[in-house]
Amino acid sequence: MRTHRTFRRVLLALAIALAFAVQSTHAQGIVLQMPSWQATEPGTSDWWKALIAEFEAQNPGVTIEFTHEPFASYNQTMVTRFAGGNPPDIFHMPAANFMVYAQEGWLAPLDDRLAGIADVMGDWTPVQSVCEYEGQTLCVVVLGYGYVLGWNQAAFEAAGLAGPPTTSDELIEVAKALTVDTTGDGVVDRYGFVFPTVTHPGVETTATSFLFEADPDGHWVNEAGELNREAITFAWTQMRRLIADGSVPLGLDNNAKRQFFVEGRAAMMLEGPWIQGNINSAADDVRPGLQVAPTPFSGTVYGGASNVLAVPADIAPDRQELAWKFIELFTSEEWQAKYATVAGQPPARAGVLDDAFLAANVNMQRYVSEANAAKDFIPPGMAENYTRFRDLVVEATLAAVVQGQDIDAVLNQLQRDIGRMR
Amino acid sequence: MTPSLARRRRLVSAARSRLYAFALLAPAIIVVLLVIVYPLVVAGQMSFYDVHVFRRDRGFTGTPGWFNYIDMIENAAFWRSLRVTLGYVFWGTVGSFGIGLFTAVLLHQPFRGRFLARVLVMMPWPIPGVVAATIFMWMFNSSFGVINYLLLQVGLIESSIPWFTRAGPAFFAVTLATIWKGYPFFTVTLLAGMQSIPRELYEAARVDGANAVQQFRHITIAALRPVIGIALVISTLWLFRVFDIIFVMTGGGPSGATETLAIQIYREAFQYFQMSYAAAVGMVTLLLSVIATFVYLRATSKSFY
Amino acid sequence: MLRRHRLNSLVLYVLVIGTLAVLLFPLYWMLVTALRPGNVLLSWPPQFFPADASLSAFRRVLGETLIFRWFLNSTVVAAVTIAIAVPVSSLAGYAMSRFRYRGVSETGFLLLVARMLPASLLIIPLYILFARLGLINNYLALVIANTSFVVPFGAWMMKGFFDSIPRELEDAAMIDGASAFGALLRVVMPLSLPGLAATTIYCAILTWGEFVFATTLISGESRWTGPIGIAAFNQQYRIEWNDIMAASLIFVLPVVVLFGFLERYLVQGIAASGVKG
Repeated sequence: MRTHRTFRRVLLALAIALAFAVQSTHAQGIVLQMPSWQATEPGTSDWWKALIAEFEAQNPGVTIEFTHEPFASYNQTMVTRFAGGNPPDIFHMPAANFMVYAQEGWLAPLDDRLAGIADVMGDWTPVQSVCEYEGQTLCVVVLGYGYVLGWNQAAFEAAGLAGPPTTSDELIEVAKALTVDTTGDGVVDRYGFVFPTVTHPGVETTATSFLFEADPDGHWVNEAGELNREAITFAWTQMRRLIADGSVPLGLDNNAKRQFFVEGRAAMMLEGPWIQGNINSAADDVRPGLQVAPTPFSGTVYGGASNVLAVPADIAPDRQELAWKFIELFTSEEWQAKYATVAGQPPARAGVLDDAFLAANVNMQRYVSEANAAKDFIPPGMAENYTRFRDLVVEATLAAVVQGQDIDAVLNQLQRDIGRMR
Repeated sequence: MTPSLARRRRLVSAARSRLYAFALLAPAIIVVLLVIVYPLVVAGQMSFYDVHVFRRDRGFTGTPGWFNYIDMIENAAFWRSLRVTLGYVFWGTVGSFGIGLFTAVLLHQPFRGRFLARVLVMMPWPIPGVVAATIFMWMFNSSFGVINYLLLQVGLIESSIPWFTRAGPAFFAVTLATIWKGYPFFTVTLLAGMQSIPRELYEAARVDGANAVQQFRHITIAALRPVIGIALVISTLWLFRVFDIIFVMTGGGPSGATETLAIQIYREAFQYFQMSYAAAVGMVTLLLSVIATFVYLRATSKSFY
Repeated sequence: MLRRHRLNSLVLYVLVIGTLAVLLFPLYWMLVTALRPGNVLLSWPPQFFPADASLSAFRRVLGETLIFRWFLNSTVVAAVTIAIAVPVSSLAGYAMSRFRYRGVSETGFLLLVARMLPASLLIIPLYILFARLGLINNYLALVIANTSFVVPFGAWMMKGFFDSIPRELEDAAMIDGASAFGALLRVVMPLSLPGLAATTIYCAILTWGEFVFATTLISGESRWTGPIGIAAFNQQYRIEWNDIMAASLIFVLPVVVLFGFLERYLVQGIAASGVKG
């Protein structure tokens, strides 16, 4: 009868579907797991996928499972996987998280392999030193950066101002002039400058940039753990001036900061080379005015490593070998050049971009030069406890700059807290 | 029937009853305790060692001791966090329960559109904590938030309140967001509880001359006591553990004004990688939860223990 | 008399509408944000009725993401969890309500202790546990984890509801020849439908919104549950807020629908109590 036939057909369809489902989980050959938060990021993900396709073509029988992990919980997820004995095969991580993996011995030393491509590594970004731990190299830097100043040229011209500021005093002056109420309703329509003023690592980035201007050879603390009080006071005072002038919208985090700049509601902001992605996404009437310049701190550039590639120590040797081959391909001139042309970011390897390309991409020139000039933001001796240190700095900065507390009192408290750090 | 046979019968039925009771409990025991016992034991043990990251391939080495707890007691940040947590749990409970009870009573009345009203009122509950926190963050934004806008329009304030740069306002905003996420649980639970109260009780009371308030106190609340008790326990245990809402809105700031123990535990565990210290703080949280549970259950259930 | 009744009705409606307006305002704000094109999220004065409203975020979420797949995954996990957790909770709650043996109350208390540690301390041990069981990247791990989260509260909630059902009803049934379990099933359970509905809703919401364990134990975009998909809209340097709000509003709809379906059971009370105070 018809219902019986339908029933049998449905069963057959289910059985076939099940067979397919089961079959699809048995991939042939070796599958390397590579989770990343950049798997769906515009620009970088295209480059990663192209690189992976090339690697798979060069290594038949090997596929890379490139999966997306949400960024906010990325480190927690990865630490849990490593702790649970299930690390990925190719490990891509934000450089800020490097220390815990190094301390736990979870990363395979790469010195011998890097020695094999010593000429390449000779051209590698100087922030590669971030990957050193106890005399071993445990990762390879993917993106080394220096901060740039994003500035809205159209806003400058409308205010009758010449080019971007080059010192922090100029920045303060210019920011004030650029803070305008264009519609005359008593509400500020564009701010001169924007930086995060809520609990967020971006606060440390901003403050450190000012600090570097005051003391190009110094950091927040010296090797003895003593605060660099003069430079910090300078930094905080400058930031206070900006806020007192009303040039900065209060209560914004880093994402809102970028949003404001991209909408033309803030004329200047400090940002890394990933600012290009923000600029590209700006509305058509705002985008042409958005330019990139060196940061206005008398020549010192805040920078460091953004993200790195590593090989987990506890995976099978043949997988380690393959992971290394992937990294090796990543260091090749072709793919380093594509990091600029496809991903739009400054490559870690020097000298891979030809002059024609750089001439046609002024912003890329800027990213590359700032990355080369960058001074690493981690103070000496603070690498192991950097996260805790950074959180203390953020809170102290907010207390002094936004809440208006007495600077010396805040410095004393900060010194005490740093002294107590484990 | 001889006395010994009767006694045997009673003993057998009692034993079967006991077996029956634990048979009913067995699935819960298997599912919950077998899964949770391991992390509980790990956390408890770990708090006495110096573990940075708990790993599958490594047990606890070194000499155990109370050093984490001593560090904790000597750490001003811990005491501040404790104060913040107690305040947060208190006000979160008061707010959620208050609104939950109010809406439950309101939606217990018959009126047209009640179904729609009930569906609408529970909608904050399934909203992800991160999303709820974000919306409240913008609403309370000091320069552009709609809350300041409305307060200014109505004339209640003269200048924008800096919600997230001052301790009090930040705490208020974070607690409000939590209450918003938390009240529907009370609404649904209390509403369900109210359905079990026979209408005859109200009628009898009305005949006896009791007014609405008295009916409410002596029938509704009295009959709901066991449900209220456990709802308070569940809500409190949740408040002690809330992470997303606070972390997204303030990150624990300003200057730790909204850093509850749960936030501190996360920081120590997954930002500073001092998991033993985090476990010690976790044990304190557990102790507080135990105390709260005892207090609530004792107060609302005469037949508890 | 009629006038007072109408006045009461009016007062009631005013209260209901007023309360809903205040309580649901943040949801309205979510909707407004979802309808703004290009993330103009912080503007002054705030726009209550955005002039540039557009459905592009909803179209993007529905058309360009795997949101329907995530729905399916979340539903599967939630359904299996409910199917296990609600009966298990009910049985345990019944035991805790009716039996006063030593060990019953202690077990009940221990169930609560299981919920006294924050997720930060649970995640690594549980991951190790599931790794040992070979359940990484397997929905069964999520079902087990979520069930263990729901049952402690579910059991106590059901206990509370069972407490308000008089024991005489089961005793009467047993005198009439029913077994103890039969009495539970046929007499007590139907009367505790409001409690079951509440527990089911609680379980659904908890499982539907669970993020920490889902993101750690499951990987691969097509295997995600909803919360992970929503979190994935947060890139490192760009966040599409209108997409996130749109996705969140869409994502809660199934739970709201489930609540709508269960709501009538919340209304069902004891038809005829037959037992005087």
